[in-house]
Amino acid sequence: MTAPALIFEDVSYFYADKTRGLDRVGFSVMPGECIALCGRNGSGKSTLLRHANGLARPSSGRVMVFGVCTKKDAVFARLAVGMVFADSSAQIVEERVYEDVAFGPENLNLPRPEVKRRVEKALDWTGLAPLAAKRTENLSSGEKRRLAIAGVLAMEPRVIVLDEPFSNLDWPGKTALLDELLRLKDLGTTLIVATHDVELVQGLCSRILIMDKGALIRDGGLAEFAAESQSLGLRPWGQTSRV
Amino acid sequence: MYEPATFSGQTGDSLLHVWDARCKLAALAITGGATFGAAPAALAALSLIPAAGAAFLGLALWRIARDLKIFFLFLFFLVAAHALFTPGEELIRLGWIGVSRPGLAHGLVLAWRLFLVTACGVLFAATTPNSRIRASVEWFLKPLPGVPHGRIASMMGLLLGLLPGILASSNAVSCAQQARGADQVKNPVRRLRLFATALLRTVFSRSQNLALAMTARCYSDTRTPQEFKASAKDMAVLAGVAAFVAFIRFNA
Repeated sequence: MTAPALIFEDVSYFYADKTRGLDRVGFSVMPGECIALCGRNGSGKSTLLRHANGLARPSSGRVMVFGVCTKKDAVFARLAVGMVFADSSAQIVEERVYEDVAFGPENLNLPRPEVKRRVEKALDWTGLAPLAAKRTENLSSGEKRRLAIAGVLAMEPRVIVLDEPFSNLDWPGKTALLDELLRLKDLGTTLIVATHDVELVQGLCSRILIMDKGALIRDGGLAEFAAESQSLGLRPWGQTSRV
Repeated sequence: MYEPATFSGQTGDSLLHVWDARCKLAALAITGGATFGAAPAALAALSLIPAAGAAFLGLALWRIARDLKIFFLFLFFLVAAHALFTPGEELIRLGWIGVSRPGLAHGLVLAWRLFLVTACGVLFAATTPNSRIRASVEWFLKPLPGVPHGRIASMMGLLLGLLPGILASSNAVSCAQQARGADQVKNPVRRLRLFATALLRTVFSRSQNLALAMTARCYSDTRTPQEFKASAKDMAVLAGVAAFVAFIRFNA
């Protein structure tokens, strides 16, 4: 039997000011699964994703990444789980596209030819190869999002978590990104996509997690909760929307 | 449209752009070092280096000056402090306080030195990508025992990475506050406080996000080393700069 890629065991998290970020969240994700993570603004989606990447540590409970507890080995979690932040600009560290994609592999102290291989592969994959020498500030929002994904892909993670990847993108940008995610899914990459656009990810994700006030209130197939979407604070999906 | 900020490297294929970053850093150190104790005539001659570089690159001097206005304010206070508090022959009396001639002269020379080093630094940063600056700093520090070369280079890289962001943020904060009538606030202290508070908040938030993004991508001090290739031409240019600076320093 295949072991889960991610397990959240009764995870609670409190911010420094004692505000509850996560409230006894528990679920598991199997390798290759694609999950939509939904909920109102401030419901705890980003906090949950940061736990998967080992950026945040649970106040109680534990997060296991491929059987390794993130409290014990956060670096392993960061290597296994790549995270694409909601604000792509904040994720860009270097001045040029090529350098930014190389930032992660260089941190792993990989030999230069391996860094080059990974960077070129990630740039090709995201279609950014022609922009390799471009300054990162000069990129459009869509290109910045693709750069953030390329930076994560160069780390060759087994799981990718994306925090609102469709926000601030025009329609062609959204569909291009969706195509990219579908290709990653076809490669067997485990994906967790925090989004308000459930309708957009219907073809990508088979399962949906819905959060409210830090708690996981629904976990199941997308079709199961379509009828109650609006009461859950989500844009309707699985039907023609008037919005 | 993105407007490149001071301290951010610009692309180009000029001699300054393609010059090996380690040689550029060495030239910067030589020029900076030569300003210490240099007479005004030597400073004037040394000023030709950044002036020629800026003209050669076609840098937008007005924008650099705008970005560095806080630095110029600092220089002004430096000169004023020397002029007002150094004892010596009085040049002019402003009410109860006198401006000293030697203090003013000393302050102006000191400000000139600082300006010269900063101008060379701007030129260096404008023609060198951050990653190369970081790598060359690391390259120079590596042979020194007990020096955390990786960490120092990373800190420098981070600072250089943040500087254009801080300058861009200060412009954005200024515009946003003016759009909400901040220029109507007559009290300059209150205006400065409002500006500084908003800017600091933005800078801290930016730094925090940057740290988080770096951590998420396994940031480490031990990174894949950058490859350097210094040609004979690179070394010849460095030797030329060193000879020029030495000539000026010991003859002017």
